[in-house]
Amino acid sequence: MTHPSLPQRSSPPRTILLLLLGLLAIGAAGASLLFGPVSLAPARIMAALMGQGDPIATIILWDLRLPRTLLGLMVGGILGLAGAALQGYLRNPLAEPSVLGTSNAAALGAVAALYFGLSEIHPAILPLLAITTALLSLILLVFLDGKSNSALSLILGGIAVGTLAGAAISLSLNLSDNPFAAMEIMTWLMGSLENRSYDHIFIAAPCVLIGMVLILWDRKALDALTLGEDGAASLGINLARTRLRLLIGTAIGVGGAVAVSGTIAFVGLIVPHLIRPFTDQSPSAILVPSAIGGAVLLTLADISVRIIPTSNELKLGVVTAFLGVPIFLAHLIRQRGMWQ
Amino acid sequence: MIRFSNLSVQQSRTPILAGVSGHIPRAQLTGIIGPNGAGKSTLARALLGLLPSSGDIAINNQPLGTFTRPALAKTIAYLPQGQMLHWPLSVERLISLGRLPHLGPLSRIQPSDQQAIIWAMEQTGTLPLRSRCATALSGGERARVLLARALACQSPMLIADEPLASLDPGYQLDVIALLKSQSEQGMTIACVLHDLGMALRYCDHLILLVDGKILSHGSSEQVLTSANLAAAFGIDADIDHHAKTLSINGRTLSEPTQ
Repeated sequence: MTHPSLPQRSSPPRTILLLLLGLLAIGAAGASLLFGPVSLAPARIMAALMGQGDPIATIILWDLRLPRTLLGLMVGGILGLAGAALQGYLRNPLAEPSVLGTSNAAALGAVAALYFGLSEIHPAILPLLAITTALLSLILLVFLDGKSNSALSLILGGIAVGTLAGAAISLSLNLSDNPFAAMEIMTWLMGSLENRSYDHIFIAAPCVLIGMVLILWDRKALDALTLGEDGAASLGINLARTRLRLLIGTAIGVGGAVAVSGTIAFVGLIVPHLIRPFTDQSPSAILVPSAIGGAVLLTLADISVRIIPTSNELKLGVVTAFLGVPIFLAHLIRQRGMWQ
Repeated sequence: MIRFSNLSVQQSRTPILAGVSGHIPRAQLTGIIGPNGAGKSTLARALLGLLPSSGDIAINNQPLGTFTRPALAKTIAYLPQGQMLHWPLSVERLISLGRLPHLGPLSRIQPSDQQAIIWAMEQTGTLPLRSRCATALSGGERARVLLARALACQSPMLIADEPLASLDPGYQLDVIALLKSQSEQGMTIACVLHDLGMALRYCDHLILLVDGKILSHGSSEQVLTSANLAAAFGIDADIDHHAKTLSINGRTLSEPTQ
């Protein structure tokens, strides 16, 4: 008897999805280079890109807009990827990168740098301290989590770590006798890619890269976990190693991102939800598309903070939250049937 | 063949299995029976190395501890208890998860994997469901799909934890008959069962657990005796091994017939 071969149902749409997202990302990055508070004609931008531009256009493009664009792509990418992986791992559609407490812990490091005035010494101290506290929070989380393999104990441990870091941030605002430092802390916490340089890229890029590799490593384990922990273990998955790689990957990747951008809400939560209907719904299928989708969404949000005319530049985290909620609600209403 | 000797499992200092010894014979259907809380599921999970246990377990004469997780996954498929699915995958995608032990870290589903997936769907009659959403199936359909997922591993052994639970009698017969025919084709199968009638009619070999110990172990004639069932379940049972009928407390169980 001849068997009908399985239709490759997942493959062609996946290629198309990745292609479309890739085009969107290129478009968003191009737009991010074109738009800014100083309007530059596309011809001047192109000339600057080719190395033949006038000095002003060259500085604006290479020293301001390009690092900002690259950071937006990186930060959005790791937030989208980590959100997708954690939703798959925890089998919880509400999971997002901050669920492990790493974002808050990284923010605490940054706040400490601002509070004690360390960031005045060298601009790199703030992100480095943020990454350090993110890693410390990871160690605390692994310690709290013990040898457990359960999703619940990880969520509870993450809440404990995140709340502790959040309380310490509040304490710093509470005790700050310098209103400027308090203001600086508040502003930083709202998240921004303004005035970022290549220093920030050199700090964030290795973290994001390591994080992405570690998270993508276990994509088959995430699929296997659809059958529960015992089901996954019986399919040959080493749950302890999967958990450790995912924890380290998220802590380093998201910690590195938050260290340069501040906390940016909602990207890690909504992007996987937006991507999922266009895939076969398996956790592995949404990982790479969510990374690209996160990069697109964050870049678009960052363009909008630059072109929306307000007296102060809007903060990125504020915009992603405002953009995120309606998108999320519209999506939930459409998908309501799925989670019953 | 799976052999276990002096196998003990403790959970928060309470012994769940207390030094049990026995075996799951090759190419037969072995039923693990016993009252609630006797340690049936614990025995199944311990044999798969899913629980910390003491004692010896050997699979085809090779100690369990020397298997890597992926090697063990290729040797024994496991059908866990319950039907919880966490993502609304299509039936075909769900069954393809059974091929994970055979895939390298970067490889995708190959034609040989597709053959195994189709074969598993044919065996379980789930081919017509292949593009349905697995979370939207009825309980009976989902049980067969999950069994197909386990069969898609094409491993020589299968441990199934209550594969008949929450199925109506027709589907119970379908599933146990399917397990029986797989064992006749050479698969070594152990399944946790609650239905003594099914155990009597379909199982080649039985392990009767009571309070974490093996009360009886062997063919259904040896295990399903009035004395054993009285000791294990507190019932007054009368078993006719020839006609394969079982009456409990004077009432003959009406066996579902095909």
